[in-house]
Amino acid sequence: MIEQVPKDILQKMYRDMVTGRKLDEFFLKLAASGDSDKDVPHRGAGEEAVVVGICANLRKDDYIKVTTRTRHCLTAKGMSIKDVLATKSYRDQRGVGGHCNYYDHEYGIIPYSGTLGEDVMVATGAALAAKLRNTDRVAVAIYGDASGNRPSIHSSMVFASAWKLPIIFVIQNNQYGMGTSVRKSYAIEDLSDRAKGFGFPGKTVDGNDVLEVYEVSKAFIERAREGNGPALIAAETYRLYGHYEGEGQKYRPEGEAEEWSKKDPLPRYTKQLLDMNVLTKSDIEKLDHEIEAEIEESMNFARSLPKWKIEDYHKNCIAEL
Amino acid sequence: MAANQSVTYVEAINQAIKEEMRRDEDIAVWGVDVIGDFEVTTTLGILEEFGEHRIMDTPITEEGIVGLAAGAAFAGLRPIVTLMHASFVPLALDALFLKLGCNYQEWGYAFQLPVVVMTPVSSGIGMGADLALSPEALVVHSPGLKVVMPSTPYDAKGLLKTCIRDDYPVIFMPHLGLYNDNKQEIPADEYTIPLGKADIKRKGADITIVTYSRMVLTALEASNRLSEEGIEAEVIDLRSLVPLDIDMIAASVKKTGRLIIVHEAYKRGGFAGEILFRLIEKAPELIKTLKHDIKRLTAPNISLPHTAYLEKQMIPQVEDIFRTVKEMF
Ligand SMILES: Cc1ncc(C[n+]2csc(CCOP(=O)(O)OP(=O)(O)O)c2C)c(N)n1
Ligand SMILES: [Mg+2]
Repeated sequence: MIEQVPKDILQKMYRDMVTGRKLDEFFLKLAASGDSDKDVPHRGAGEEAVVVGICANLRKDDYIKVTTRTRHCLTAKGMSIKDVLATKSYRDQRGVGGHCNYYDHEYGIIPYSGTLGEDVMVATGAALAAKLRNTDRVAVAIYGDASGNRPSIHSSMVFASAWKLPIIFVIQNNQYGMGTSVRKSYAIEDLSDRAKGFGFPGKTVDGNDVLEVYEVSKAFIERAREGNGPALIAAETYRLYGHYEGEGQKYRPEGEAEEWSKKDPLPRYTKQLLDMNVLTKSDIEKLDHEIEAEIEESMNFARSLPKWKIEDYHKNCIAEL
Repeated sequence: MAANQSVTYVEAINQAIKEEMRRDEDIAVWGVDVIGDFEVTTTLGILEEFGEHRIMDTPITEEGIVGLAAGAAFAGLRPIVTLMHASFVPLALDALFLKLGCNYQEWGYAFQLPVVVMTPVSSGIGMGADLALSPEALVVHSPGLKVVMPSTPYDAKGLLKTCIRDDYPVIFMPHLGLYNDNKQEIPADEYTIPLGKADIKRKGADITIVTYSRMVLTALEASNRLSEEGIEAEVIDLRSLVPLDIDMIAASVKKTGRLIIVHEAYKRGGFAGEILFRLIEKAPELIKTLKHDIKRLTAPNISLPHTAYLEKQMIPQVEDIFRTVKEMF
């Protein structure tokens, strides 16, 4: 399979995964430093392959909404690390984002929603516009396993199937929603079965295998682009950390996280690339350093921007509207 | 009489639920992550004591959490259901307004609908527009719903027990920002507090501050500072918004001649407007005799930002109350 994927895409996916991972780690430091306002990180390290594998098939003008947890992986959709860090540290000059609240119109990145799942309808609306305006753009909505039970997602699927909208639904099944196991909130084993009743295709993939995510989403995205309607992907992965940093994780069976950490998508993909001679060890070292340097540099840039003040926020909102 | 016990707000709520569950086997609890494997501690320990048929973690569907409560109550249960943040009230508005609030009224109270929807307000702690909504103005608008917003552990426990015993729906909105901070001595013996009775948290002759929920604490702090300046504020904690103790407000304002209303929710259409109009209806002559124009302090009519340091500055602070009251003298 890997042989058929163009080399530049393989490299891009590696870069995107490492960027996501390093940003995740960087946010921990940032939170400790106070620069992200005592933000409590919701870590997504170990779950990057889903966003990364899908974004490798998307164009700049496609739409995407992702989970809160892996929002910083949106550098894979084109958002710059500079913009991510400016937003994260409350210095995005367009408006006040922060925490996991990003948005980028230029790259089709749909604004964050704190009410889970409601943004899937927004993504579906973007797909409707793409269709009505006669474009071949597609929309992708990635949401967590627990969020997958929101009625808003059902509504989105009702519209998407009846109107054959160009949208790919993706359940990022990391096995938990806060302290609730996916087994408690679904009676089906295979979450992609949800597609059946709506009459569009569904497929479960190993969400820690970026190549499989890439392949399956490629087929579905092309199908949607050609006007053949929606599809559902259930990407099986694992939340290696607490719902947020510092949370007790009492609900997790012993040894489970250790088992899953063996399936960490990054070392796995790295090994594949090395075995196939797509990258050498020294390429990898070089790339890792480059990304770290870019993060440092981007943060320095972000720090050079003014942090939002309440007066300016008021003005920016047109207060008495 | 057993001795007093010192409890936090969240412990007081937890005690109220468990005591009532021991008393009445028809009470069952459900909501997202309520069992307490996670950290929402108001419902901690219920599984261990009462078992799986009395408490359930639900899928994330707020519409269902409340909608099913209406049906279950119709069929004989007395559900206590939770919405993790009061910001999720809009998601469940049909169930709240029509299935809980209106249906039993249309049928002349022919059936009972004993549901408590417990949903903490999370404003002022950096959760942003999406999660920090203080939605009391939305729910007070519905016929048939009582709305309770306590500020202390003592009130939280006594009021919640009354809510649970009520045969009709109540929206009980604690404040997440109060959960673990202010310990208070409360009776170890059973007690309840009736709905519709406000509480004077501080006596004063110069100005009436009407408020509720977390803002009571802010108002009390401001009052202490005002006292140093020779202004004695009377702080009225509404405790329940529906029913509203307009008599107590009218009596206090009659005494002080000045009124300021404080809440965390957005200004436009906020509950302050309702309080004022109820006062006008109750005591139309009183309004004409006031020593100063009536004021309100609320969040401005702009979206709460998703960051604690900015969000805090959107919500009335001690300093804001202090300054505004001083300007009224
Ligand atoms: C409508 C709504 N209900 C509840 C919550 C509270 N909440 C925040 S994150 C979360 C768990 C989400 O789990 P999942 O969708 O699996 O995503 P994950 O955190 O695993 O990435 C919950 C219940 C919310 N934000 N919105
Ligand atoms: Mg999950």
